[in-house]
Amino acid sequence: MTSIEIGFLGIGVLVLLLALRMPIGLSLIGVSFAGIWLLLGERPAWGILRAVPYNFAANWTLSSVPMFLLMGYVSYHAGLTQGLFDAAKAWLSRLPGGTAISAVCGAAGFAAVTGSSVACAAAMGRMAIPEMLKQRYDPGIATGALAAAGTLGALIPPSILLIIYGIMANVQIGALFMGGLAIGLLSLAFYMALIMVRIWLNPELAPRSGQHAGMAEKLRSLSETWPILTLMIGVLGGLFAGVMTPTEAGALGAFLACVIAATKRRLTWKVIRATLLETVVTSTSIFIIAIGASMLARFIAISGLGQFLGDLVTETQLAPAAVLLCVILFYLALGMFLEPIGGMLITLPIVLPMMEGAGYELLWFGIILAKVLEIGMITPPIGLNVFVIKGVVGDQVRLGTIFKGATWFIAADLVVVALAVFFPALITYLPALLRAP
Amino acid sequence: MFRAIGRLLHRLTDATALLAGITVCIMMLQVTVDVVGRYVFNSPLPATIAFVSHYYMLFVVFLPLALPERTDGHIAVEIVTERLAPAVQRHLRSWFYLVGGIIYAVMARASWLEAMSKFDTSAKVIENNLPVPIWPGYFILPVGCGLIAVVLFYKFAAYLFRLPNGLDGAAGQNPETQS
Amino acid sequence: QEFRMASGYPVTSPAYKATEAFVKYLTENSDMTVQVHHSGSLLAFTEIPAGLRDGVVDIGVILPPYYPSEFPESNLAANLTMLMTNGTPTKAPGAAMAGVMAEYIFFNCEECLEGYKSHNQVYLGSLSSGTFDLLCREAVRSPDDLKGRKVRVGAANFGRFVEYYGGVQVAIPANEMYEAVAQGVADCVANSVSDLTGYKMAEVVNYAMLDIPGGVYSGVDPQNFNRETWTSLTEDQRRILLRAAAAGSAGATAEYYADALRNIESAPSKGVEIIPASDEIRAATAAFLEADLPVIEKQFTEEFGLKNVSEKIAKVTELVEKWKGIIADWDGTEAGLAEIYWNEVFSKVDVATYGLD
Ligand code: NA
Ligand code: NA
Repeated sequence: MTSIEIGFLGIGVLVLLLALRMPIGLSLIGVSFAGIWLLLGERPAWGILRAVPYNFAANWTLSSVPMFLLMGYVSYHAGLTQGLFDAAKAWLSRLPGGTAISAVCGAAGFAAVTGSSVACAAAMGRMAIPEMLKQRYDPGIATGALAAAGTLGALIPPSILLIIYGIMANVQIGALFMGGLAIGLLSLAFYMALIMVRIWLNPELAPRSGQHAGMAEKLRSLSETWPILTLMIGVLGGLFAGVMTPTEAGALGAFLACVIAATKRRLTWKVIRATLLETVVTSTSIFIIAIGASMLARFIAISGLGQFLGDLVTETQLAPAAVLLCVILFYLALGMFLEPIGGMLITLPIVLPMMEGAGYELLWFGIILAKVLEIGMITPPIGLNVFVIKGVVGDQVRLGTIFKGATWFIAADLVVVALAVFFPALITYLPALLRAP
Repeated sequence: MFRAIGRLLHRLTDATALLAGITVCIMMLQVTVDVVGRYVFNSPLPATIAFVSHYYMLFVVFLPLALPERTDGHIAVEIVTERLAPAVQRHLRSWFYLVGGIIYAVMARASWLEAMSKFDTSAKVIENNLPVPIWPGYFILPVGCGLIAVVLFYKFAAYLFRLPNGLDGAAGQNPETQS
Repeated sequence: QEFRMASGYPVTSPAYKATEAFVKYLTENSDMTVQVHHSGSLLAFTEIPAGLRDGVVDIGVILPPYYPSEFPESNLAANLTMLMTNGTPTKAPGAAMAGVMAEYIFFNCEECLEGYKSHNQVYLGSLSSGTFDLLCREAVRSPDDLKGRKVRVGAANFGRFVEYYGGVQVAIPANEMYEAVAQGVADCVANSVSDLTGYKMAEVVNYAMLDIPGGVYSGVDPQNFNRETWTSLTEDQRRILLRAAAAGSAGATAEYYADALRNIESAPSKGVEIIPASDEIRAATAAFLEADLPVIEKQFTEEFGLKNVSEKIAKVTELVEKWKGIIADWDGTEAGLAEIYWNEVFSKVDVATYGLD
């Protein structure tokens, strides 16, 4: 067997193991270890296994992953988000679909303190959906909006997905965060417009609530937004006022969230316990996959498969645009089945050299990739955000209804992706600002 | 007897996760003190990066590995198998306990060998002019990988000999633990 | 014969020129070829010693300073580079220091070679960066200007220099220094002026102070061999490899030298003012060095358990003076430097015995 054949065999076995529900991290490690053994022999295989897991994990830059997770879970369990949602409602209730728009805005705010999509959907969904259903919103639009708005959690900084991409692709994380902010806000605008237009065209989707807040109440509502605003200003302000690096921002953000939760007397043992448990469980589950993906990258490098596929792209002389289109379609398909971080980690070793070969900027591509993968969070059959929302609503709304409600938002997302592809400046403008000293 | 082993493993996984949780707090506090010290007093906490990378991260990444495994919680692709009959799913999953246990045992051995070689050279790094020994951190890997290997073998034994599984009891499993 | 090789450097780095030159010489002058995995795509810097030990690759780029306790003997020499930028002035401290490293390790430091052997490696030359400069947001015109400045340093002795003059050393990995300076977390980085383009530092700093703190980075072994691979080769092959290694060491070192000159020239157009070292600054670095040599001696004796450290420092000092003389005749070209390294060092290695015991 040639090296390339062993490479293909390894990928084939990997897909089989994944399909049979072997955990992703284990499958990656097992296939890579066996593959390197076949290619180079026993001792090098052990050598890789001795070196990679330690050196991957013992990484300062990656320490922001558990820290941002901690920040998000504290905010979530201590209920620091309610105020933002209430204020948005008070100010936006006159718009068609005011509560839905408020929920989407609240999700964007929560996205600024959490690194993950699922946490964002869960936090806002638990708050907003029961209220919308009480107001007799169409269940599809209520649940679909929150499932989609959850994806802002992984786009608007901080973002675990972007941190891991930055490490794998060697792109500055601060710049990625700015790009994520750009596409996150763009998506937010499209979600708001979509809700307004749909309800304006068909007012039955969301009966007017009738209860409009007066000016006094509007102003009073602002007073409870401080927890999230303080966190946002603390983290972003600290980043750009020269207090800390993006890596350090995770720890300071988590600390600030704890302090705020404590001042609000919400930092109970129950909250601390749940927060720490979820932080370590999520960290360890993400990292074992990342370690496996890192080993797979070595296996692919040794087998020559990466180079083979890269050369194939060059030889077929596909236009870079065609390569990009194929990659986007591939990730949309992948997103139907895999969660974003796993899907990204498994495929980057092959896709990154291809995109570099096609001459695309890796910063820009990272943002497109994050957006496309996050669309997968709301596409059937496996849409984690949809499942989370289903968990929130229980028997009140059927799964199919949520997926159907999310379809509109998938359409809006695709428009956003198209805009970002045709007008790269939409994404690269903000990161470029960062470069000016 | 078999159930007692399960309860022991249950407690061990709880303990390692608790240790990781405490580490998360220490990491948060030390980096915060470092940044505040640097910004306000112009005196950073020495060797923060060395401690975070060579100790805290290893505790957080490897010690809690076995905890999600108690409830089959490590991230997997459910799409194909959920169409199979429940009995088939159970057999498949259980035999993968054996495969997974072997892989983690191999990882434990590899990282043990590396830890011993770092112990022999008493590996250290120097940060802010301070020598920081880093060899102890290498031993966290065989501990974390070894524990999850044992948990997996235990689950496989429970399946194979139809013994009562003393591991049961989910901790920290929650839909929000992904992505 | 095809070798697998791992480098953590991206192809755009001046240090990668070592690998290019090494591979070029081999392919042109022998039937040996090299498959290079660069940018850490096969092994990251931190993983290469383990990978080289276990035969994942045949050749690896090793950075001994990353492993102070694994390669303490060669690190001692790499910690003495400020000797090169003090005393008798020399136009190319990096080119001279790479020569010092190779001559010291090949012929004067049995313990260095033992160290490589214990990690199943064979040492095959060093490369050196250009002189270390201070790249800052604000100008540093006298040692007093260092007071309270937050400086990112890449080596312990530079950290001590910064503290000696009242600055604060902040530990930041190389891949984060751009953001650290852009966002004001650090005021300066102590790196070569090459990094104005290399790490794009020109975008975030306004001043480049030349020769502060001085010294060079010579702790890079650009082509160390796996021992079994080395042993399996014929004498002729090993001789050609040594010749290629001389070309490799010269390739990167000459590139760093030229790159620094280019950067000094183009800095004003990038909005970076170049400030040459004043006599006051030179006196300050000399004063620091005198105070620091005992510190280095103590650290390597007590912390890393080296023996006869003062004799070793004396040997390196002697070689430094010798190489200042040798490099004075260098014509500034890569080929010329390769010739010097070959004649002065690599050709004298005994291919019948080296790395085989
Ligand atoms: Na976020
Ligand atoms: Na999906």
